[in-house]
Amino acid sequence: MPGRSKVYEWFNTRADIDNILKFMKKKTVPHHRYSLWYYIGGMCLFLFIVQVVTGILLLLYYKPTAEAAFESVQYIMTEVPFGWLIRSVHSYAANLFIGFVFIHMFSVFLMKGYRKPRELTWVSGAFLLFIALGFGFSGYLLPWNQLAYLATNVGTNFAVMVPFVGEWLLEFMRGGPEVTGATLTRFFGFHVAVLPGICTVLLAAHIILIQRHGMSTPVSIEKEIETGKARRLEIPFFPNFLYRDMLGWTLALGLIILLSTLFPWELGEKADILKPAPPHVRPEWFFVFMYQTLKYVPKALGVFGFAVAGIIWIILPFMDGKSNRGERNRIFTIIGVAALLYIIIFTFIGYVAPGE
Amino acid sequence: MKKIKLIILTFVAIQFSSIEAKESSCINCHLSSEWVSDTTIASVFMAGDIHRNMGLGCEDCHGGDPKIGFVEGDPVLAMDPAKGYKDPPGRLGVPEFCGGCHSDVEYMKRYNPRLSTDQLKLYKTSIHGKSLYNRKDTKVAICTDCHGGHGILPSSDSRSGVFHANIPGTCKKCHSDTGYMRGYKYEGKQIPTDQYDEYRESIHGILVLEKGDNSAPACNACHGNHGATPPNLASVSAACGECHANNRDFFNGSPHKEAWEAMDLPECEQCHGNHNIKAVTDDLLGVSEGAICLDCHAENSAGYLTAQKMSMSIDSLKYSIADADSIVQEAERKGVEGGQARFDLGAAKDDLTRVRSVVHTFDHQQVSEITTAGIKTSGGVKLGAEAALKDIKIRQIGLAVSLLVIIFVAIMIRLKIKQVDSKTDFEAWSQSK
Repeated sequence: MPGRSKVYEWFNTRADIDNILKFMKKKTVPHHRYSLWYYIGGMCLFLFIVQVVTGILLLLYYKPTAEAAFESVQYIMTEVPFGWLIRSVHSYAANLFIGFVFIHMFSVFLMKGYRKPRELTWVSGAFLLFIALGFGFSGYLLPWNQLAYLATNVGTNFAVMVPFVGEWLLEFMRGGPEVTGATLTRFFGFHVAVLPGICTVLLAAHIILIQRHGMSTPVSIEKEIETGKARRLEIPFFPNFLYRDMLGWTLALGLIILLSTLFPWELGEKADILKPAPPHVRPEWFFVFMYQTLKYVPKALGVFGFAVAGIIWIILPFMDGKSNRGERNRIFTIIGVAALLYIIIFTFIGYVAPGE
Repeated sequence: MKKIKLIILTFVAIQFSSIEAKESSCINCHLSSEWVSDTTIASVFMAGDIHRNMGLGCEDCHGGDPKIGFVEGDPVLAMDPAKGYKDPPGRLGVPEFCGGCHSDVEYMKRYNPRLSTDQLKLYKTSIHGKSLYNRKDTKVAICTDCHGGHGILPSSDSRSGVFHANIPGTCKKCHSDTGYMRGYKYEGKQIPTDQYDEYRESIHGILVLEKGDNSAPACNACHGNHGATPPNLASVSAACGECHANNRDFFNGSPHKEAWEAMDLPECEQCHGNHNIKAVTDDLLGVSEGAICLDCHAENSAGYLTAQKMSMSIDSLKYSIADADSIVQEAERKGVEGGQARFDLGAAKDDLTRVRSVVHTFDHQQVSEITTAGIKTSGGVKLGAEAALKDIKIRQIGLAVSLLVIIFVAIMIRLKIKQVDSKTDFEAWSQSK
């Protein structure tokens, strides 16, 4: 085609760039009163990229052994130029990432964005949530400080509740019967190799599926359009939607930098295996609702319950026949709101009145 | 009827026991108020006496044959002198009575190879033993006064009178009793009875009696136990030096050593006291009010000036550490990782601990060398913390600049959104779907 560079043509011949651009030029996003929730997925992606970039930078100095991990993070925080910033950004962005993943999941759930033909998008997203929690759990131990050590002890202990393979699973996670340097090295492997590998595949599938189907319009909006109460409104993805996404990312970056500078992420005390555990040891905030629940019910029953709930959560799209038929399903909305309230309330109790 | 009672008592006695006890008519009768007026001897023995727990019975100390009484139905037969029965030894005979076994190396090896067998020998050298044997004074302490007679517990048992934290209370029973101690003199003077009261308020007493610290000294640490005797002047510092070894060595190399020997003064006790040793503070050193150096050294004398200089050196180090510590704390409050600074400051604090021992050389040069090193270390920490505080300011400026850039970019994007929205025909896009 005249006016195009030879380089473009070379790539176009091999990668069919024209077709991709054509798709991108035509891509639209529904615009209605719930459109704000569409930006949460993009925010998750942005925060994930921040994690990848800062994680790679931390890898330049981090040493994954019980003898050197704490000191290497201390070195990053005190000696490496902007090391304090990179580590704090990694920690804050990690927590924001998991927070936004939860928000993304519940917003999709309540808007019934999982309904046909987007079931696989939901399933891949649910697995991505577990991967995100795995990132959080494994990453928390890596600075090898006392709080992380104790939290990992508590967290991995629940593995024994898994029927038949519990003991094996516990030893597999810890690299032995106790949380030691072997656990640290193993968690490091999960954090920087195993989980990123799985995550890349799932994330690619998730994004490709979203591009294939586009954003889902909530059932209520569809009904309003059908009955003429509202008009179908679409905005172009390029550049209108993308600019809005970028605005959110820019503000998120500003917030992370603000937090990282004013309140650099604490390092705490180096893990001491012989030191007694203080009262009210708790896991990271995103596990607190589960941890708190297990204080009220027999642990084996609780772990089994969460496993069943997790499986049901994954296969929910296949159970919601009404939404799949384009009808409103209040029961599922109530289930979603109840699950959200349950997580919020039990997390709150876990911090305010944890009990014994 | 008596036979039935004996059977019942035997059953009770066996139940009392946690290990298999020897069949004993002694216990059967001594647990019965029908046979003896005082049943506590047998009951405390059965309740956990260490000899009983080791498998020994009454006859191992008292002789006789308890089986005879049990079989024949008349316990008195068991206490036949012809069967080796010995009457209770009386206070004068108790040490030899216990020593019969406890001085026998071969015999004791069978039960507790780690237990020393020199108690009787030491006792005979003690002030108690000498009084007992030389003056036939049976008021002095004998084995049973501290260990008990029939309910003897190991010293590791917190109920025992010789358990570490109980030793002061055990000694107190006699030594705080003014009436009991009346007439007992040492070096021609009445032995005081306020040692326990003084000890209770001393740093050692607080550690032993209130905090249960077994490493802090009770009475026996300085006086000995079986060989208990008041330490004389020469042995006071030896007793203190057992734990405070560095202080002892520094003192022995100091000019005070010879001077005090010449003046016949005790060593550690002269400044720190004996039973009422208080927790040491830096105020003891120097020339300010409360400093003990002033007790001997006149104003502007060489000793006075040395004390003044040593005190000032220590104060300088303390101030330097506190100063650095406050800046490190400020930096930590502002988010700087202070682990390394705290570690380095720990070295300066170690110097402070060390110099508090080195003052016993009474040599300002040695004191000064350490305080100078400590001040240098804490000064370095302070400089590092100040640099970190400056770095925080730079960070805050950097943050302000970054935020300005970010806000500017956000505004530009917002304007761009407005611009592209105004150029976009949303109707056409919506229709295309």
